[in-house]
Amino acid sequence: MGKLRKKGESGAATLYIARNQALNKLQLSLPDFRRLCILKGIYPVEPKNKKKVNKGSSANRTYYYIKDIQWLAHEPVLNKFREFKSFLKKLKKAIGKEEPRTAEKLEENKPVYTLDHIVKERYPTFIDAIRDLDDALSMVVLFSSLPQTDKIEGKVVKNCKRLYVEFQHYIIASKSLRKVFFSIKGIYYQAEISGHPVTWITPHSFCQDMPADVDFRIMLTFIEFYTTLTGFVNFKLFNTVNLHYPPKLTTTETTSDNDNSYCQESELESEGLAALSRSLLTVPKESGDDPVIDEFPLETETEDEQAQKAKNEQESLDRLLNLFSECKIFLSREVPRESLVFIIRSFGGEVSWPSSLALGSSFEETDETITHQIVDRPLQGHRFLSRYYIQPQWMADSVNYRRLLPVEDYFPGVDLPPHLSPFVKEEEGDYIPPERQAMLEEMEEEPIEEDEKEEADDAETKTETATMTKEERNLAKMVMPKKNKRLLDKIEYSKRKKASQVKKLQEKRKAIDEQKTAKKIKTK
Amino acid sequence: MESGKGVENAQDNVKKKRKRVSKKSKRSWRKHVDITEIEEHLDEVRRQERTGGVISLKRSEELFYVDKDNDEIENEAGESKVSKVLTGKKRKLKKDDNSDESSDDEARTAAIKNRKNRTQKTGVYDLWASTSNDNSKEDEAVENEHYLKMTKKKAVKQPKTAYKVRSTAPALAVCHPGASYNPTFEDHQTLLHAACEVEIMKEKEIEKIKRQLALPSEEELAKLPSWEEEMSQGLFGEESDGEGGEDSDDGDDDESGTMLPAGGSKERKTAKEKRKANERKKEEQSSKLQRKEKVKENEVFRVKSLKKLMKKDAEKTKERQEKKQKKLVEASSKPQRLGRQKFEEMNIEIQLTDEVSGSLRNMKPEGNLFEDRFKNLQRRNIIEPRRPVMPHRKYKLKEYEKRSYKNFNLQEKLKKKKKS
Repeated sequence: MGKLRKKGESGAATLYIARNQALNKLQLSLPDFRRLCILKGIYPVEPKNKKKVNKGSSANRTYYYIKDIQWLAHEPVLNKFREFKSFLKKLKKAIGKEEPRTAEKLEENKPVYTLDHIVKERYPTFIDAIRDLDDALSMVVLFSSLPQTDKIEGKVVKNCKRLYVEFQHYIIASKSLRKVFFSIKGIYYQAEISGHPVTWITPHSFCQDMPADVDFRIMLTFIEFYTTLTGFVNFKLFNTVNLHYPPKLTTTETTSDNDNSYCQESELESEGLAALSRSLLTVPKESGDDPVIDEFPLETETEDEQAQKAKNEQESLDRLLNLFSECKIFLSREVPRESLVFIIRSFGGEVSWPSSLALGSSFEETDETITHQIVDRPLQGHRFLSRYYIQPQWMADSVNYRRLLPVEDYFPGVDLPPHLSPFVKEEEGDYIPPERQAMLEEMEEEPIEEDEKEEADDAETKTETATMTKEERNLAKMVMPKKNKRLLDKIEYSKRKKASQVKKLQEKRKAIDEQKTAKKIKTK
Repeated sequence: MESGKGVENAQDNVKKKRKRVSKKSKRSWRKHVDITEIEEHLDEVRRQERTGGVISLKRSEELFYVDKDNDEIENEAGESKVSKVLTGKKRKLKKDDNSDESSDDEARTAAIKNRKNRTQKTGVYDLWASTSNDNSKEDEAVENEHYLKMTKKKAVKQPKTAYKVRSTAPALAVCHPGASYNPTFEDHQTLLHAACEVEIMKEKEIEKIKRQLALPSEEELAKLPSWEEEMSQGLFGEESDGEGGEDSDDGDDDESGTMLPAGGSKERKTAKEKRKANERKKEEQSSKLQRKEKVKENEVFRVKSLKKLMKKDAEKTKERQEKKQKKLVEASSKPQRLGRQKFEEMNIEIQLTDEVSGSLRNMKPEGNLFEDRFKNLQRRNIIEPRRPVMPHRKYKLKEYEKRSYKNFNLQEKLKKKKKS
């Protein structure tokens, strides 16, 4: 007989550790432990079999991998936490004893920790960091929109603002914005950074209050890590497009008295940067031509098609990148300035706003060369005939359609066409609203024109095969084994159900359209 | 500034002719007194109350913050105390004695300075830059391998469990197209439908709980057995029940049966019978073996069907594996149970049909992004769901009555007596 095996000495029982045990092991308080875990990226786990882990009890507790906790014990930041604890004790003592000089000295040598090594550890390559940027960016943007309160230091808010402005400058310089979506929650953006889509959301201005059930200490810890990460990412991104970091404006205009009325002199530079209206100082390039798609003589047809497709895509992208390059746009004061300026500038447009509104406006409303003016209220006062007055949705829709849309649909006071989400991916057989259908068609317009002949041929053959199968279908079904037949039935049933739903929606839509037209006639 | 204003006001007063009116009666005083200043002040206070609180009542920390960063920068530009100490007389003295040592010292001070600078200027260097002199470093490492082994701290090995993906849910889920500020009718309807379904489910759950907790009606109450009946169940033989009586009778019969010696009626086997039984047993065994062997021999001809069977089995296992894999993938995007509390999904942000405004200016933003982000972290198993702990007192306050309070009634009585 072998050695008697005891319970809880191998297997799942030794794989996990409960949170309280971890606290005892690391000699940390719960808030410190949570902070450390968030910074280091160590998250709780759910064991597969709770009874085996928890001595037969299946009560729900928070578990961590024991290896993770052992690894955490070697973290330099952990030592800094301990040092900080003792520092606080000393400081309190000094203050209590009324020894200001000792307190000052202690304050000077306050233990500080950096998260650089953790960032490197968690994201070994730059691409890894880019992949995880969604979360970081959204959080940074969110905090940058906050007021400073007793819970949130002004320093944090200011830092977040700076980081987001820097990131926006990179997006403008690299022209990597791809999609914009105005939702009731906020504005979604998607950019393409080194081949990876990065999505983030910005809140609508003046609507963020802090809900009671959100633990702010946790959010602040996250923001601490994410600001470090975004800082490094920004530096690297600026380097890739040869921009000077920290960002500097190209034209250092003499500060007029007018500028001083917006902010203090010390904040003038950061405010000028945040206006996004001017481009940044670049570092002289060492060597560089923009990559051009080489044209190789190709052998087979299929490859040729692929190449053609890639080329088409590149062309449409080029068109998108210079979408607003021939527009000179003026924003009225009622539209959300920051987001619109960002969108216009990232597609090469020129933009300004009333100089009394904010710092950094480059031309006045009276400028005759303005092509578009964005307004969002019934028109008042003098109207210029040389420009179009349009609603802000035109910008977002133009970006998503990848071409300048006809302005007639977006005049002030006109019922706007619906604003579609560019993030939707339809599956086969789904119901597609007519507006979305138009959008999809327009996005694929050019390739269709070129391949029209081929497609027509394809369609003919397709219809033939379809009819053939229809005749043979019953026969084939009879021959089929029972199991496959049932599966086929299931599939057909689900398809029919979907189709009926689509039909229902189409009918609904039809009814509503009719109603609308009837209303219009009545009002006329 | 204020004094200047005061002077101006005074001048104004001088310029204005002072009205000579009597303020003798209350009515005339009311008529002629100038309360514009007070009213203005009150208006201002009310305005402040409307727009986020009275400024004069706020603490200065809420209004301003000290920009400590700039101070530090200035200190650096000038000379911080630390640098003064580090680059002070001490170094000069040593320089004369021993140049080597002094250079060492300088390097050390520079390192200390660097360390301090590094802490302040995080984020302004390329973290992911591949160090160009990697090779030289490696060479050095080979040379001093033993030395390094004995002195240098080895980096702790990262466990396999670290940075394991905990959830495949997206970091930022873009909201449904029906949540556009100006949605198509269909998208908006589908989103409304989804939100409605969630509400219905919630209501059903509440109803279920209510049903379970409801008091029984009078009829049901009357049907319920009394306490005595319930308590005395199974204690006494229930003679009133006809069936029960029969049952008990049967039981009696059985008991009487068991009283007899087991197998008493059967007689002992004779030797012949025993032998025969043995023979029969052996024969049975041999025939069984033969049958088995025959089947084995014939299995050669069953190869085809066996193959089929194996194929079927393999298919079944494959299907099961796929199913399991699918289940795993599905589960990987769902929140796990990470603590005592269960994860609760956020409400879907919607605008009712009459709330949808066609313009960006009139739009009413919905939802809270803070909550959204927080819940997202929970959904991705990064933090465990927790019920927020409200600040509370650890120990109960002790209440006691003061002597003066205790004797209050008595003293009052005394006072009354004195008066009377």
